Amino acid sequence: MKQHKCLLLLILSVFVATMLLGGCKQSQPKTLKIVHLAPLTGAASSYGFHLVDAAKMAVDEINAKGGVKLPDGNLVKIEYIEVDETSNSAGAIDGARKAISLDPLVMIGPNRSGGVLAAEKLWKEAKIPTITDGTSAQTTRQGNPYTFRNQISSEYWIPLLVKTAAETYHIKKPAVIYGLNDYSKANWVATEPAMQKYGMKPVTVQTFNDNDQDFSAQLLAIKKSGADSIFLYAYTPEVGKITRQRSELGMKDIPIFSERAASDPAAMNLAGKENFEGMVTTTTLSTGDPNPKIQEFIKNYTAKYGVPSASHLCHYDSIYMIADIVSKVGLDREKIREALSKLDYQGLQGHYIADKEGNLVHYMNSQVWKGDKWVLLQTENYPVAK
Amino acid sequence: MGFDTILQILIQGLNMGLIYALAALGISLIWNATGLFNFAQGDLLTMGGFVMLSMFAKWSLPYPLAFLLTVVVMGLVGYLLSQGFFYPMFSQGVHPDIIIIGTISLIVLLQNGILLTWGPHPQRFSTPLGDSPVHFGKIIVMPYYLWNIAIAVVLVIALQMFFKKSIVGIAMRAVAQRPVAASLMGVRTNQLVALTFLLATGLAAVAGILIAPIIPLTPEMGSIVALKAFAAVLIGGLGSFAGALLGGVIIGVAEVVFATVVVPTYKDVFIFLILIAFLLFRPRGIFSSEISEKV
Repeated sequence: MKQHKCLLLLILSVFVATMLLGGCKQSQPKTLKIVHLAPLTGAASSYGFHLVDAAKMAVDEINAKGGVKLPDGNLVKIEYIEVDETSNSAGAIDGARKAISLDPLVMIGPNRSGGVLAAEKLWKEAKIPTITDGTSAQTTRQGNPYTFRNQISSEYWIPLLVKTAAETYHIKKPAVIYGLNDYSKANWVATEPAMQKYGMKPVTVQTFNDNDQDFSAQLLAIKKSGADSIFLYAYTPEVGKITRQRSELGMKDIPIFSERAASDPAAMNLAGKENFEGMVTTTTLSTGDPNPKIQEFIKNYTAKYGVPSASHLCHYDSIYMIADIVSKVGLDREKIREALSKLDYQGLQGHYIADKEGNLVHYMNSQVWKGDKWVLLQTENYPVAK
Repeated sequence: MGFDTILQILIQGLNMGLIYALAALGISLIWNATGLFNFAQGDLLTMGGFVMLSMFAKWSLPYPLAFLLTVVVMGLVGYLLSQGFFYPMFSQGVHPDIIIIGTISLIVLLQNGILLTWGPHPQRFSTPLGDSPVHFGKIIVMPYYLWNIAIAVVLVIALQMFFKKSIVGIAMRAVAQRPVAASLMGVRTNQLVALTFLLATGLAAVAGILIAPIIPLTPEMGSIVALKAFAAVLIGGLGSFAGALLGGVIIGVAEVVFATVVVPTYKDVFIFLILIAFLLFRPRGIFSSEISEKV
């Protein structure tokens, strides 16, 4: 009987030890797992695919070379998984839960500021470094050490736009129209101080709701105000619709100044090429940038995925950035977070430096749609708050 | 505000109103013939727009041929839906409220089907009339506004005539009002339900084709339009085609006027307050049809 008990104890011990060892083995990731929360359905899905395609392109390039070389000399492949966050805050929370359950080393996304603000506590609790998109300045001001941003805050999108309007186009009487969402509102908040610097003041400020179809009331008010320009802050479909309706109401001669949503080719398709001429936007990446490396990247991307939305290709660099960090610190989330918080990295699209809030991007371009292509106007680098 | 501006606002409102009215006609048709609300009607409209996009803009078929083929294809989709989705529920005596809730699942199915087939990017196509505005003094009118007015008026008259004068139309109304009695009188319920959905989906296709130059085609576009179209149906009077047209125009004009005179942000609140007022003080709408008495 005693022998039987000893045998049973031995079997149980072996079983427990095997489970524990197996568990330990399982917790050692064999791949560099990156989960990308992107808007693949819903209102932002038109550029969600650009975000994902650019990241996939980098993953494919790295994996084709064998993967990422770890500090111990071993190579690991990148395991890239995209999760739909459906372009809204509730979807971002659901998507973040799903992404965390996949046990990634690093997460990318969500895309919209509202989604980032809604879901950021989840990756903070899970202690997963997350490289987000949204441009609202507030997303990196939540005291979350795991939130980083590979986009530039709206506080920087707008000053260069206003500077370009004032210096290149000599705008004096701007009108503003913006959508009532976190992204567009943040752009509006940044507009007044930027305009004051150049002695400009909006002659009228109009708003609209997301998914509105008719903007004639707002555009007629702008026409009546005698504005010499329209500062338009909206998601891509609304940028297209408003630009088209501006022409339909005989206001084609009033130029539009907008931001990254206008760089999405879908905006031009909706507006019609003939109505898009003269559109000025700010963007982190301009297809009109003469830099040969950027031109080659744009060419390769276009060949593989079609015409890019330049401002939404940022996660090509995010993937290379993560690979570079992992090659130095290994597959350790906390060390990756620490490395991101001290980042100083030269990527293809720009030089990334982490500031005290976790913002990684500190450069900006303005561009104009002229004669069937984007033409680079101005480039600006901003100081990094350490 | 000058007379020109007022007129321009009214034209913009009429344009939006016709969009809602075109979507509302299909909803009214199904209500007339089956006593059901099809919440997926807006998404069938979207699908019609996308089918036209493929035929006209992608495959470069001539506009009239692409128009006709789109209506035929969508009519077939409606027929398949009636046989695979609605009629099995009718024949098993499923409560109409359950069928209406079931149409919500159709929305998810259609939106995701559209997303998979045509992708997420907003798209549009123009009409043979072009995109150049027509100037009448200081008033600007897009050519497709006039085109849409003509089509909407013709459709309303044709549908009214069909339901009031034709044997099939009268039989469809009979099935909606008293399905058992109609069946006992020899009316083939199955065939009429199929015909109703074929017509309603064809109508949705027409609406999608006409709306696409104005509202960009996205997988979710139909649901946004349908919400106002349902309000138009209720304001105009359930089952009345003239009511659907008038309800749509009232909503379109009211929202543009409110947005201009008061504030654009709360125009939807205003529209749904109008709807609530109608439901409280004139629940049968402006043109209450005989069928709406069964509510």
